[in-house]
Amino acid sequence: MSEAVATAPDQRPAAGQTRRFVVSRLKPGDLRPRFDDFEVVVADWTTVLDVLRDIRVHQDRSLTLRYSCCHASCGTCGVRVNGKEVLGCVTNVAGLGAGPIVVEPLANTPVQHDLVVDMRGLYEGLQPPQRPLVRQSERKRADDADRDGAAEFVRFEDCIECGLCLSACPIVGTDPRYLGPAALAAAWRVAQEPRGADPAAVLAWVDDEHGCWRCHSSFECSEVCPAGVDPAGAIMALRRELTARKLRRLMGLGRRVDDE
Amino acid sequence: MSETPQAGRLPVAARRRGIRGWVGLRGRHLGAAAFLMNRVSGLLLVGYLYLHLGVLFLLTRGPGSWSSVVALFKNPYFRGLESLLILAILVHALNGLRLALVGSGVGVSHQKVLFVAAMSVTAVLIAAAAIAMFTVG
Repeated sequence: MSEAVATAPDQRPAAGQTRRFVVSRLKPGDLRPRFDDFEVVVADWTTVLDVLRDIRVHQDRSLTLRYSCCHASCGTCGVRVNGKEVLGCVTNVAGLGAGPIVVEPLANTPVQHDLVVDMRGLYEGLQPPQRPLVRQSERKRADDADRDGAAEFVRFEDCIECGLCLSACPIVGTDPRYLGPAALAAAWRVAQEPRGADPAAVLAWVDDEHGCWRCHSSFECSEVCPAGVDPAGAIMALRRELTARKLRRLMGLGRRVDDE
Repeated sequence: MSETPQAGRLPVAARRRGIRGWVGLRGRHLGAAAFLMNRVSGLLLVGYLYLHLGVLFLLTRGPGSWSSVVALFKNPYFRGLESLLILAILVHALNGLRLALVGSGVGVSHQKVLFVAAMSVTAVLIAAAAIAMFTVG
């Protein structure tokens, strides 16, 4: 057990609370994960990522985790805490209720080491729609001063590529060919705002039994998304757009989606 | 797919949650509950279809079997099962209506409200149906 309060020593409270963490472990060669128990003293402001880092520093140097920015921007510290997908860096331990806290890697993705999963599936899924990073509407105006050196952009697209949506989706868990909520949300962004991309090609890509029609509307992707992207809403919007185009074609008012 | 781990990774298929992701509600939200209810009610309706075909087959065995089937229908336990059937129909139909709406891009941001409304109507209708079944006839 660690005697140190997780996270910065200079912010240690006078009295901390000891919490039990059950952490999934899987090393190269293991066929199944095992669960290790750790007890960590936490404060009101301690996050799950603080705890994991504390365990690594004070209790088990072999615990493997991934993180970078520590402020919900990079999307690298996604884990499942008590079954729910979260970013560890912004998940406060005090808000997790009583009882042991179970920390597992994201689901539906190969585990490389302990809490680190292989994100290639997500990144490869985002390639076909040529996901735009910046909304046209969010480019800086010509008269804006370039105060932060971010050139012409005000902000990046909302998706932080954390993969929480893929872990939470029940269909990703059963259909390996399903495009998944992240890629479909990216496709809807292209359909909304092509900026040189071909929206017809993207719509034809998602108009498939393993595309937007495969979603079974559990809305878990939108529930767990830490950036408010609402992938489920995007999937429903894709369906609405495809249905409207098909109806227009049936009435002789338009061309096939993949002909446009 | 081989079960032999390669380069420290489990086979991809082994890392997918599979059907556990459909039935496990730990850490999930209202939409997942609706998703699960639709699948359970759908399976119940499929099971009922075969049960119904079996009962119809019994009726082909003559007037005696007809009388015994009617007596079975009046059994309180059977009426309880029929109430469960009506519940499954209502859940599947009304939640299906919600899914048809949001799947067409209508009321997507209100999907939780639509689910609560659908289940509220279900509760009223199943209560009325159960009262009728256990008091009439």
